[in-house]
Parts: sequence; structure tokens; C-alpha cells
Amino acid sequence: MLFNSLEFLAFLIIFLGLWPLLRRQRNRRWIGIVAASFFFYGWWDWRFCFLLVGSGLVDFFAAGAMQRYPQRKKLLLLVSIAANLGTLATFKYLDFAIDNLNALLPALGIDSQLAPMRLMLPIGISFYTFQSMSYTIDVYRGQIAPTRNVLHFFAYLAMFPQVVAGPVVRASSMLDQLDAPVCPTERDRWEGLQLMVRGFFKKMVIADGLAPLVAAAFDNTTVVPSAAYWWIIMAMFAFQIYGDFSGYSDIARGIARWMGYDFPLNFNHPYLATSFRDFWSRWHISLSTWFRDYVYVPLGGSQRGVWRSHANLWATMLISGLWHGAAWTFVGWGAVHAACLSIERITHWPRRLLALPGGRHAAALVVFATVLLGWVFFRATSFAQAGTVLAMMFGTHGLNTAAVHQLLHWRDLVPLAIMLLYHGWLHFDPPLPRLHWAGPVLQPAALAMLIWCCVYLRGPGNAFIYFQF
Amino acid sequence: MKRLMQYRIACTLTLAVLLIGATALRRGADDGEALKADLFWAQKLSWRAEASCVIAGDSRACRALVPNVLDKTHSRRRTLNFAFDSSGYSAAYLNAIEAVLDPHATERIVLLGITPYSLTPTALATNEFEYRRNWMPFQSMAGLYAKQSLRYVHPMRVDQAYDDLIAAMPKAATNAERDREFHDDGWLAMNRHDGRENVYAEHYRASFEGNTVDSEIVEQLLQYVRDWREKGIRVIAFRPPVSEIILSIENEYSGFDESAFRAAFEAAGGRWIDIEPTRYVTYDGSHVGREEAERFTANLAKNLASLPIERVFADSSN
Repeated sequence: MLFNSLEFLAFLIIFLGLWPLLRRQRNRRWIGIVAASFFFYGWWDWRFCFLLVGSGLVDFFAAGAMQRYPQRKKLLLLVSIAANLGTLATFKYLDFAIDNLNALLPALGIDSQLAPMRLMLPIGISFYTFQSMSYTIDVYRGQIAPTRNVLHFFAYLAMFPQVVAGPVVRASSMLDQLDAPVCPTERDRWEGLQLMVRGFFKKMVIADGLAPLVAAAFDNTTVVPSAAYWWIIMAMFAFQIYGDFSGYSDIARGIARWMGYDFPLNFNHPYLATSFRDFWSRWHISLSTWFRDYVYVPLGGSQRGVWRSHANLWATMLISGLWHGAAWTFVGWGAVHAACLSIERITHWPRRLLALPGGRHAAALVVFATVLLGWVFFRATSFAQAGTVLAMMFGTHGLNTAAVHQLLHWRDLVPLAIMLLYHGWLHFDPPLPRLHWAGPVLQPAALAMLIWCCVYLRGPGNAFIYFQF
Repeated sequence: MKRLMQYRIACTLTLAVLLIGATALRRGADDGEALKADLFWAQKLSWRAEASCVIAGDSRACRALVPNVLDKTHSRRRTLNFAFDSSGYSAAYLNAIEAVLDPHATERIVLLGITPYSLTPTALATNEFEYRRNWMPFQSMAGLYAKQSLRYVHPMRVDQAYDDLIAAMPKAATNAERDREFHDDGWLAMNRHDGRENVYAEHYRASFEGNTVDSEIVEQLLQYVRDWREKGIRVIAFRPPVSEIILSIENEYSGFDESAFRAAFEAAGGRWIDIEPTRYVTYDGSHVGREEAERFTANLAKNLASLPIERVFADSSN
């Protein structure tokens, strides 16, 4: 069930309508959340629910056993991690491994080829396995106590606003919230509504409006020979993926806020970053911090010397790239960011640039342009295509603005212009008069206008990009 | 003010409903036309294994070929016009053409309307086929008819929003739409007779600036022709009606060499029919109205009937 569908709208109205009856009593609350979440998740394919239940039960019992048999908790943690990573490897990476093995076999003098398994990829598997894994790791580290109620656990793991595409919510914050009595205020509901509407606008108007143009550019068999065209297309893709993913996060956070819960901030205007470190503290924050806490720090972080810290950084970024998709292009994307972070650590260029007049603008521009180059690997279907697009962007066939006029209508540029103007406004942060008195009138009017835009200016209804991860 | 703060959710939702309601009423009449077009293109996209003869090409083929007229000469043939505006011969489009053919038909024909523009990179990048394929939020025809009930919240493009809601003459742009007649067999009949054959000459010339016929696109098309021939599908091509002015612009600026293309097409196993495309009156230099479309199709049908019989029985493995 997509957030941007009529069936979800009906589902949400019914659920939020029943919520005041469900939220008062603990068990009823958990049963309500679990039932709604499995209905929501099973809407795609009911068979997916079994994997979610299986994966969750392993971690629920492993965490419980850790408390009961502390001397065996390392073994139990290994079982839990093996089960989670095994599931992920089977459903997401098996065919990728087989394809690579098949490419290697002839070099080893073996003629036969392995047949790919073509297993269906359950939606959101990368998100809920990471969330479930963090629960057992936190219990192992003694940072949280395991819950004894399986409904409590599944209300956390499968909670419908975030089960398929995050934010990756930590058990340490969510289990307590789900346990305590919840009583959303009028302010919670208002903030929830604002978040939901902003999220729908980002997804339906911005991301879906840009999606067909980016798809047409990358699906085309003949690459358009124009630097101007490809920089615009990549800027469109940057805001498409941002609108798509941060839109989903905003909707998820908005629903949670309406229910009286707090999900962590997942995106904090990443394209305003003035360094790559800054970028990763603003982009997909819940996943970045997950990788920091459960991969980078356990590897030694920056505590074991300069070279080791760079090696840890590279390992984390390459794994993060592979998490996004079972293809080498995603690893390439991770490598671009790892290289940028490494260079930044060695040269400290952002600090030096920021000290110069206008340095903040220059730093933001450099980071944004480099991020666009990185997105080429993320969006391209092969390194060959990425190479061709990058060559065009670096002007091997000239700027060729005529291609822009020919291939893009002015209306195509409207979503991009909205996002660039909005980010520009935030970046320059002009001193605007504070209109406290007008807030109660302007805010509902602005929000109603955004709802109108979602209804009438929505783009083609595409699924969320991050569902595939 | 404090009271307003208390009811801000209700205020927001009420205001949104009022805005949407006002918009729906303002553009209700035009939406019917837009919805008709949506249903027409979506119906085409829903065709699977339905025809023994498929017409393909861009807006010229879409308007110039009348399936009903073609089927009159052959009682067992079922023809569908699968042409899309501005369509180029991309792999996706060529695959879709084949999917429309009924694998169990005793004779299977693909009729390709060849225009120079349909072999250019721009036609592959932006065309009605890709646009509609990406746009349609509903996959089934049942869903499409359900969509009729949602006509008042039908989305619009930004420029359309300006025309519909803000511009002083919102109806002016829709006159051309009113001339359209959508047929179930995929033919888009135009009830227009104004012979303004020069009016788009400059536009045509500009459309080939930095966008000429691409040899890779041509080769890809020829490869499909070879594959189709191997599967027993007859592939017949022709140049749709066009005015002399536009024809000379195409020949001069598009990089299209009809005789070379024809030779390569026939070498790939296709059959080229020459029906003198400039003999028909166009309303804008490259599109024909209803009567001329019927005349053109009747001529094409005569040419088809004169071709040697080549009956191919479908391979049971298909």
C-alpha cells in the first residue's frame, strides 16, 4: 500500500479515527498497531509477512535468551546477526553474487554457469532487518532491557509508518514510547498534519514531477550530447531522490506525531551542507548514525590511527553503498563519498574555504556539485552509462544549451526551480519580518495550498525509490 | 486568534476542500476532454495480443490510418492503430507493438509509418508513448473507468493550470482538442480542413537542429524487422501524408535518405509501399483530416491487397 494512494488514505483515516479508542490501554494499543501494520505490509504480498515475523521472532527470542543466559549472549548475538544478514543476503544479494561468480568462472577455467534464483525482494527488508538487528545488539551491549511482550516488540519493529522505508527507529527510544501512555495534544496533531502535507508535496509534486524526465534521460539509448542538459538532469535527480525519500520520512514522522510518538529527524536540508561530513550528518540521518554506531565504531572508528580510520571510513561507505542496491554502481557511489570524506579529512578544505569571504557559498556549491556527480553512479544502470554521463557533464560535447531548449519544456523545470529557490532562500537566510500575528491565518492557508498542489499538480504516481532497498 | 489556533486543523482541511471544490467547478468542462484523451491513450496501452495487424508510428500515422477501412478489404483481419503522438521507434515501443499482435492470428502484420522525426533521439526521449506509459496510475481498464469518478481531481500540468485557472481565455487552447474524435480502434480522427500547410514549416526545420536521424535508431529498427520476419510477421512500411513544403524540409534538414532507408528496410525483410504522401491535403502540413485519412487508408489497403499472399501460421511455441 503506497502512501500516495487512495487505499492508504482510506486506511489512514480509519486507523487514526480508531486510534483514540486503541491508545488508552497498553495491550489494545499494541494489538492495534501490530494488526494495522501487518495489514498495511501484507497489502503488497501477504507472504512477505512471514519473513517479517520470522526475522522478528529470531531477534525477540535471542534478546530474551541473552538476559536469561548472559554467559551465552555472544553466541546468541551471532545467531541473531547471522539470521538477519543471512535473510538479507538470500533475498537481496544472492543473484548479485551468482552473477559475479558466473563472470569469474570462465577465468578459472570452469565452463558451467550457475542459474540465478530470481527470488522476490520483500519490500523494506533492508530497513526492518537493520532495525531488528540493532535491537539485539543494544540488548547485548546492555544499553536496553529486552521486552518480554512479543506484541510490544512487533509494535516497534513493524509499525506501519516506518516499516518499509524508515526512518530506522532505535529500540532504545521507541520501546519506551510504546510502553508509556500516549496522549497526543492538539499541537502534536497540527505538527503531524504539517509534516504529512509537506511530505506528500515533496513526493507527489516534486519527486513524481521530476521522475519521468530523469527516467527518459537515463532510459534513452542515445545519450544526449550536452553538458547543460546532464547537469540539469542530475540536479533533477538529486531533488527527485531527496523529495521522494525525505517526503516519505516526513509522512512517516507526521503519522507518528499524530499518534503521539516521535520519530527521529531523517533529513536536515542536506543540499545546504558545506562539507561532506556535514552532508552525512544531514542525509538519511537514521541510517548514517546506524552505520556509525554498528559498523564504523565497532571497526575501531577513528581511535586506531590515521590509516585505520580511513580504512574504517571506506569500509563503512562501501557497505552503505551496497546496502542501497545489489549492484557495483552503488558501491561506486559509496566509493565516491568515501573518497570525498577522506580528502576532506586530510586537507581540511572546508574549514579553510569557510574562513574566506563568501566561503560558505563556495563550499556549499562544491559539495552540491560533487554530490551530483556521485548521484550519477547511483542512478546509472552500469559503469559504462555512468562514464558516458560524466563525460557529457564534463563537457566532452560542449555545453550545447540548444538540447535543453529542445528536450525540456519550461513546465518541466518548475519542480526543480521550486526546490532551488527554497534551498537558496534557506542558504542565504534573509532577515524577514516575523509575522507572529499572521501565523494562525497564513499557516492553514499555506498548508491548504500545499494540499491543493498535491491533488492537482501531482506527477505520475510512482512508487517510492527507497522501497527497492 | 487563540480560538483560531485551536481549530487550525479544521480550518486547514476546510480551506483545502473549498479550494479543491472551486478548482473542480472551474475546470470541470474541459476535464471531460482531457479524460477522453487519457482513456484513449490508456486503452491503447492496455492492448495485448489483440490484433492481426498493428499500425505504428507517430501522430501522422495515428491520424492518417483508419483500421476500419483497412479491415473492409480483409474480413478476417483485425487492425488496431497503435501510433502515438511524437513517438520514436524506441526498443520499448517496438516491444509494445509486438505485444499487441495476436500470436495465434493466421497472418500477422506490422504497418510502420516512417517519418524522419520518428528516427531522431528527441522522438525517443520525449513522446506520448513514454509519457503515457509513465503517467498512467491505473493499470487496468476497470481502474480507468473508476478514474472517471475522480475526474474533478484529475491532475494538470503547471502550464495547463495557468490556462485553466488564471489566464483570461482558458478555453482558447482547447479548440484544437474539440476537433478530435477518439475511436476505439486507436484512430484519432481530426475534423479539421484548414489548409495552413506553411504554418509549421519553421517549427519543423527547428525540430531537426542538432536532432537528425540517428543511425543507431535506424539499425535497431531494422534489427526488429529481421526478428519479426523470423517470427513470421510481415513488416510493411510507408511514409504518411505530408505537404510538399514539409517533405522538402524533412529531406533537407533531417538527414533522412528515403531511398537508402528503403533499400536497407527491404534488405532486412520488410516491404516498402510508396503511396505518394504529398497527394493528400493536410490541415497543418503533416496531418490529415478525417476524409483524407479515409482516402489515404483506402489507397494503402489497395496496395496491401496487391502484395503477394504470404500466410504464416503462428508458431505454437509463441
